[in-house]
Amino acid sequence: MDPGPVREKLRSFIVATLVRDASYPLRDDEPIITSGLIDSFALAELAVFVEREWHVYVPDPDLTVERMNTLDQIVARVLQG
Amino acid sequence: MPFNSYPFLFLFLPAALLLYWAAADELRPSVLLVVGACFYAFAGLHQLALLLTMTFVTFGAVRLLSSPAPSRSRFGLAVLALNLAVLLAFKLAGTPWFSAASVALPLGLSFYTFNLVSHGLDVYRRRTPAAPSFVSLASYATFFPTVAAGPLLRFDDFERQRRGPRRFDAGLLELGLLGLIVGLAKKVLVADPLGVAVEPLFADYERLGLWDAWLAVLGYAYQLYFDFSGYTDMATGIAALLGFRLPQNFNAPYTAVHITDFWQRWHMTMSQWFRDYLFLPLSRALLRRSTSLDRADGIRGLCLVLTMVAIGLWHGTTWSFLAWGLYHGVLLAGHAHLRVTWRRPLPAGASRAITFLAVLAGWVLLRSPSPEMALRIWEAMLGLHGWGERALRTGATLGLAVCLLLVVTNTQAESSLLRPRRSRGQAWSLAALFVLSLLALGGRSPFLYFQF
Repeated sequence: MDPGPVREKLRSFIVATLVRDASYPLRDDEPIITSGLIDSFALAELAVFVEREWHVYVPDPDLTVERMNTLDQIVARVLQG
Repeated sequence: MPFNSYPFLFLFLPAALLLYWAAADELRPSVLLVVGACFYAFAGLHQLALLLTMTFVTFGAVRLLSSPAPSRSRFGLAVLALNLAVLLAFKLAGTPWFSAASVALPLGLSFYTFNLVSHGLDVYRRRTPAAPSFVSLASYATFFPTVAAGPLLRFDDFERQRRGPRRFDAGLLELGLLGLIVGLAKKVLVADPLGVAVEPLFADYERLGLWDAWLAVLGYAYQLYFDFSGYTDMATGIAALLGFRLPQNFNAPYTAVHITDFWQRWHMTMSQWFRDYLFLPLSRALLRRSTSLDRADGIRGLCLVLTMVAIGLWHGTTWSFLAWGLYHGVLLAGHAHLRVTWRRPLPAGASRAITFLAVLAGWVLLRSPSPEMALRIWEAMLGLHGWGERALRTGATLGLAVCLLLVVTNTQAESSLLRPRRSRGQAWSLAALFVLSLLALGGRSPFLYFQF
C-alpha cells in the first residue's frame, strides 16, 4: 500500500466523521485521543473503517490509546496489515 | 481480615512481609500464594476453596484458549464463562427473587472473577501468553492487597512485576507506609464518621427537608469516595511494601468537567475493564453489522447504556444498582450526543458544578433500597418537603462542612506532592496521623466496596 493516499484518506475520515469538522487541521503527530479530540468509541469506528477500506483487521488489543493516538501511529498500523 | 484492623496491621502484615522478603527469589511466588491464601482464608475456608477452584478452572481454560485449534479455543471460552456463571449465581442469590437461596457473596468475588476472566480473554485475543503455572495464576488471583476490592490488575502487569528484580529498599518502605497511613486515615478519620453522621438521616428519610437531604447526600458522596479511595491507597501501599505498583484507581473524580470525564476518574480500573472487554468489542460488532457508519451515534448510545447497565449489575442485582447504571448510561449517551452537536463548551466552573450535581443525584439511586426512597430524597433536595433542621441540630453540618473543605482529591499532581520525602516534618505528621487512626479503629466498620 502507498502510505500517502492511506494517510490522506485516514485524515479526511478522522476530521470529517470522527471530529465532525472537515476543516480541522489535523497534524500527523497530534494526539487525538489523549487530547479529547475523539473518544474510545471512535477507535471502534476507525477499526471498522480500516477494515472496510483496506481489508485490514486491527485486533481489539491494538485499539488502545498507546497504539492509536496519532495519525502517524494509525497509518503505521494499517500499513502493517 | 480487613486492612483496618489491629490483627492485620500488627500481626498479619508484618509476618507476611517478613516471610516474603526473607524467602529466596525462586520461592517468592509460592510464599505470595501461601500468604494470599491465609489472608483470604479468614473470610472462610469454603470461600477460599471457591477462589482456588475458579483459579484452577481458569488455568485449564487458558491452556485451551492458547491452542491454535479453533474448536479447543471455543471450548476454552465456554470453560472461562463458568467463572461468570458463578458470579451471576451468587449475585442473583442475593436478590429478593431468590430469597430462599440467599447466601452471602464471597469476599471480592466480583473483583477476582474479573481478573481471571480478563486473563482468559487476553490469552484468547493473543494479547498475552497463558499463565506459565498454576502457582503464578493462583498467586495473582489471591494477591492479598487487591483480592478483596481491587484495584483490578491485569495478569501480564502482575507477572511482569513478579518476575522483575526484587529488592526491598527504603523507597518502597516510604511509599508503602505513606499509602497505608493516608488510606487508613481516610477510612477511619473521615469516611467512618461521615457514615455515622448520615446514617440516621437516610434511616429516617421520610422526614428529610432541604438541608437534611443535601447534607445526607453530600455526606454519602464523600463517605463513598473517602472509603473506597482510602481502601485503594492502603492496597497500593501494601502492594508497594511487596514491591508491586498498582494502577491508579481515582483521579479527583468530583472535579470532573463532564460525566464522561467522571467515569475516566472514578474507579478507573473497573471502567477500563468494561471499556476493553465489553464496550469496544460490542461497539465494533454492531458497527460491522451496520451498513453505514452514519448510524454510529445510535450505536454509541446503545453501547454506553448497555455497558453502564452491566456496570450497575456488576455492583449488585437489585433495582438500585440497575437504576444507577441505567441513569449513568443515559447521561453518558446524552453527553456523547451533545459533544458532537453542541460545540459551545460551558465555563469550567459551571461544567464541574453540573457534573457534580448529576453524580450526586446518581448516588441517591445507589443508596436507596427502593424507588420510593430515591424519589422522596430527590423531592426533599428540591425543597418540596420544607427546610428541615435536624441535621443542623445534630452537629453533622459541622463535620460535613469540614470534610467538604478538604482538598484531598487524589490527582496526579497531588499524588506527586504527597510523595514520600525524607523530612522529619512529614515523618512526624504521618506518625501522628497513624496514631490518631489507630485510636479511632475501635469502632471500625467494613469497607463499603467489600460488599461487591
